[in-house]
Amino acid sequence: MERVVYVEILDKRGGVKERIRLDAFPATIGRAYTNSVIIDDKHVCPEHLRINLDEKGNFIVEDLGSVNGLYQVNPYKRVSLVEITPNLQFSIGSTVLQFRRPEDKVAPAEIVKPDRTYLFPLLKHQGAALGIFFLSSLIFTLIIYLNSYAKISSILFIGDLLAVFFLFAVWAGVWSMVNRLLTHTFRFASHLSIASLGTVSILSFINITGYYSFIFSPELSLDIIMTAGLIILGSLFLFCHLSIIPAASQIRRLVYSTIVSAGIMGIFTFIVYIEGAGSKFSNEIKFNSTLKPLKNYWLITSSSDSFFENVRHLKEKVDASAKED
Amino acid sequence: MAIILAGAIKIQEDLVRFFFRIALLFSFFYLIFITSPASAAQQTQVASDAQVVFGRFSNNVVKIQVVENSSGAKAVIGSGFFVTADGHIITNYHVISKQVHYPERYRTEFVDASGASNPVSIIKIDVINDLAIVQAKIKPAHYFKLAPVNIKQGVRLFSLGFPHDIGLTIVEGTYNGFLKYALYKKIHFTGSINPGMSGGPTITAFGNVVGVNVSSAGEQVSFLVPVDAVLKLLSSALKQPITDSKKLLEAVRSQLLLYQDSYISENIINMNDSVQLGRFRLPSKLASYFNCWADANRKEKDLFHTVNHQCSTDDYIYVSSSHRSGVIRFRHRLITTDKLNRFRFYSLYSNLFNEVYVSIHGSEEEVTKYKCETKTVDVKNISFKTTFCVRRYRKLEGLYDAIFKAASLGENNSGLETTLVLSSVSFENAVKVSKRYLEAISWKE
Repeated sequence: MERVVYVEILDKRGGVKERIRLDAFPATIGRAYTNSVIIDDKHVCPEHLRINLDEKGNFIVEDLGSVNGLYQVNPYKRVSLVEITPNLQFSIGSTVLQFRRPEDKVAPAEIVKPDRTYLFPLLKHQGAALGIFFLSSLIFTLIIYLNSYAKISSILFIGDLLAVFFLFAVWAGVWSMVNRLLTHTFRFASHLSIASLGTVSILSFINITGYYSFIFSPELSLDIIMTAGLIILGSLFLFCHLSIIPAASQIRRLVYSTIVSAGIMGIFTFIVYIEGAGSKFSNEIKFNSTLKPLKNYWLITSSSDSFFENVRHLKEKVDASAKED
Repeated sequence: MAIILAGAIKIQEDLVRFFFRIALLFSFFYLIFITSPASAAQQTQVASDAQVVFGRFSNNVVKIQVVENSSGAKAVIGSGFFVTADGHIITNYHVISKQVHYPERYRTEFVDASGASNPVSIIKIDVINDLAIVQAKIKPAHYFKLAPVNIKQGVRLFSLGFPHDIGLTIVEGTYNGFLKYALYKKIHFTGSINPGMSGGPTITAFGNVVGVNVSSAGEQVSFLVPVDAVLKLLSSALKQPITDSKKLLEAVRSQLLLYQDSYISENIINMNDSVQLGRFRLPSKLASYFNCWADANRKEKDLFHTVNHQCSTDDYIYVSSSHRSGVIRFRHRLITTDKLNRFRFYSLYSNLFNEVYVSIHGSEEEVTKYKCETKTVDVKNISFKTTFCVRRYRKLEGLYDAIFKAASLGENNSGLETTLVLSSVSFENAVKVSKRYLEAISWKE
């Protein structure tokens, strides 16, 4: 019967970089080109190890008097001659080796987990995606219209809309290219619909927070809600794009999307902070001037007396900032 | 025969009466000319009046300069004039304000006829009237003797000073009485007072000081501080001069505090006068020295209409080169539409509410940033989104600028937004006036 052993050269995380089959013994391992296994490591001697079979037919590995020695990894000790057992790792120089025999056991195959989100089948179907794109574009147009108050010159308005849709197309185009590279399909309609759906959700969110700030006149909580909301929507937006492709595992996608989204929001918040409540001096007042067409029963109101009582804390704030520098 | 005689006598009487009237008219004319000798002289010798005045009084007027201690460079140039034998010079507060704010960095000097600089010390200031008294160590040979004057509109006056650092100049102009919309009196002088002439005197041909040059609104509209304010300051300076220039800033502070307390008098708090805009009744002219005006915007291409009503006074105070304040001004704006739906109208309304129509300029060194409190407030069954913003003068404790804004809510196609701006006021007064302002608004069904 032929005796075979596999020499595995491992990388830093324990993955197999290279696997060499040895069936002729004795076999040598070292940096020189005369070896059965050549290792490209300056700390490995030209002739470093010999693998052979002993009288009982077990594989043994032997140090050939190397400068840096042969170490078994677990427990870590220097050895000169040792029998190869399953899962035993060795280290020579800066390289970690493992020996496998045909009779070593491997785990059975894992089942591929299917995507549990239901939106994606809808988005993946190109016809449905186009439908979603048109619908969300209509809502987008409506939101823009309701937030404007100048006379709408139809030509300019259509021109502006077309410019926005062009931008959507460019954004979707970039994602489609990436998609093509990884899966040989563009899925342009899917990415386009995600772009318009994502933009509409972000705009709707901003409008809704406008109502929140109008009713409650909040101070700090508004900033927190806005920032958190935009990070969540931004990461969902990126996650959807990544899932159409699909790139990496589901969890990895979620993590990457959140990190990128949080990063962008972080830069944006930093800029707004510097311009606004932060260090930049200005002769202008900054306050929440959002007004909404709500009937009085929606509003949370206070009396004139309590409002002017509350403003007294502003005196302490400006007195304190006058004392700084 | 009797008829002819009677007729002749009548004609004679008429002639006599006629000649009598002519004589009277002539003497009347003559009197007029006598009382304004400048004009009388003008009848015969127009050009030499100014020459005479210049010749007689130019020695009393000097250039004032504020110099930076480390570099020796001139930071501010103005004019001044001697008023006592002990070397007291009158000038404007705004000419020497840099030394008041930074007593270690600057010094003040006057430049005599030979061009030599002589140091002066600042001994009294009046920020409200923009006056200052400095004292030189020399005893001048010539000086103006100040006294109250009583002159009529149209009198010819001569303004002296150093415009643009060119050299001593005389400018002729006319006396036009006091500004109507100011509590702290300023004289309107029709003449071209240029920068650099600040602090110089404006005098009659006889050398009576009528006022001190203080500012100009361009195109021969200039202003003078009346001599009465100068007399008051001078007598106070002679009794109690300030000896330490570091104490001058404290004088600025206490003067501003006193001023705003007297300005925000009971008249203002009562807010009796009102104006009607749409269904709203709003505070208007707060006192006789307030000037109000209105305008409406009805451009067809805009889908909405606005009607403004605003009030202010001509009083303003120069605090420093980067900070002017003027106590109180406000504007109401009624916005209506019949073309915009409620969502679009409120997008517009929010943007208009965000505007403040006038900003009080101040530098980062002198004022803090504004801090605001925004809430929805109910007043007499109308809800308003209100915001109250305040900032403090860093070096003048107890003085604040405040901006109060309110926007009415509840209607889908109209809204009233109003802005009140208060500068150099105590915090208590800012709150008191804003609260009263808001509560003075009422609404008819």
